[in-house]
Amino acid sequence: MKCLTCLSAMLVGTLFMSTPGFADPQSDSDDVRAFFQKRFSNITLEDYADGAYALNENARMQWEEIEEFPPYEDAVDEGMVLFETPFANGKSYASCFPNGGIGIKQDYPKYDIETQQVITVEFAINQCRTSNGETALPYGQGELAYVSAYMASTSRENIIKVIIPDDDGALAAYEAGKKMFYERKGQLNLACATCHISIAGGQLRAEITSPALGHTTHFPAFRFGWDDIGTLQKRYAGCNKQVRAKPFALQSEEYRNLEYFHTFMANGLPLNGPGSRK
Amino acid sequence: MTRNKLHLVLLLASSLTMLTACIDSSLANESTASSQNQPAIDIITLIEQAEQALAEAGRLGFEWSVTGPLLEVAHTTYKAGNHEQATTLFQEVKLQSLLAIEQARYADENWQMLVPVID
Repeated sequence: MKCLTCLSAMLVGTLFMSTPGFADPQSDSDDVRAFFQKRFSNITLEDYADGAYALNENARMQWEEIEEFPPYEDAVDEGMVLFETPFANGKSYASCFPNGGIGIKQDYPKYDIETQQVITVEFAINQCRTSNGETALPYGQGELAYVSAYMASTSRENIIKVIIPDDDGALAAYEAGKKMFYERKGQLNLACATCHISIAGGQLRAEITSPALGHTTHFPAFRFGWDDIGTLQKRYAGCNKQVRAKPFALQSEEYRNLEYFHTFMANGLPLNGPGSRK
Repeated sequence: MTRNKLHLVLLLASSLTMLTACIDSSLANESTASSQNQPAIDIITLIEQAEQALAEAGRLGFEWSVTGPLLEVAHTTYKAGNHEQATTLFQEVKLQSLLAIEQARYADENWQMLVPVID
C-alpha cells in the first residue's frame, strides 16, 4: 500500500514537473532556445539579436543598408542632451542609476524586492524624474524614449543578464509575464507566442514573423511605421491592437511583468539597441 | 393515373410551401410586433448587461479593442432614437464581451498549450 502511495506521488510529481507551465525560469529559457535551435539550426544564439533579419538574407541586406545611416541617430543625440541636462534641483538622471546610468541596460528589468515590482529602464527614468520634483513623461515615445535610447546606446554589446531573485514576488511577476505571453487574446484569438514562437520565421502577409528570442535586444527602436523611436512597451500595445485586444497602459504591472519574462528569455544575448525595424 | 398522381404531389407540395410561408410570415410579424412593443426597460436592461459584461472582460484583462468603440456607437444610436438598431448593437457588445470573458477562462486553463515542448 505504501509502495502504491509512493508510486502515485512520484507519478503526480513527474506529471507536475513535465507540465511546461510550471517550469522554472532557467528551464523555460533552455526550452525556448532548444526549440529555436531546432527550427533554425543554421543561426547562432547571437544572431537572434537581429530579429527577423537573421532569418532572411534579402531583408537583412536591406536592414544593414539602413543601419549605415541610422534613422535613430538624432533621437540618441537628443537623448544624450536630455540625460545630461540637470533637473531644477541640480541633480540629473545620472544620480538615480548605478554607474551614472551608463552601460547598465543589460541589467534591466530588475525586480525590486522592497516595492515588490518589476522596474524597467523607462519606469526608472520616470521614477527618477518624480523623485527629483520633475513631472513624469509620457511612456512610449518622445523625450522619455530618447533618454532610454541614449542609455541603450551606452550599453551596446553588453550581454543581457536579467536576474530573478530568490523571492516569491519576483517569481510570481515572472510567471505572470510568462502567462501573458502565452495567452490568446483579442478578437483574433492570438497570443504573443502564436506569431513569435509557433509560426516564427513564417510570413504574415509580406512580413517575416520574428522569433521571440532576442526581441528585447534592440529597443527602443526606430520603426518606420512610427516614424520615430519608440519603446518596447509601445510595441506590446501595438501587437495587442493588431489582434484586436485592448492594450494595457504602458508601464502597467502587466506589461512590466511581460517585459521581465521576455527579457529573461534573451539573457546571454548582446544588446544592439537602439535598432531600426520596419 | 400517373398524371393524377403527379397533380396530387404538386398540390401537396404547393400546400406545404404556402403553409410554411404563412407560418414564417406570422412568426416574423409577431417578432416585429414584439420588438416594436418592447418596453423601454428591456433595452435599459440590455445596456446594463452589455456594460457589466464589458467591465468584467476589462477587469480580466481580456477586453477586445473593438468592443468599447462599438458601445459608444450603440449609445449614440440609442440617443438618436433608433432603438431597433441600438438593440442590435448592444447585443453585439454583450456578445463580444461574453466571448472575451470565456476567452479569459479558457486562457487561464490552457495557456500552457503554446509553451514549446522539446521532444
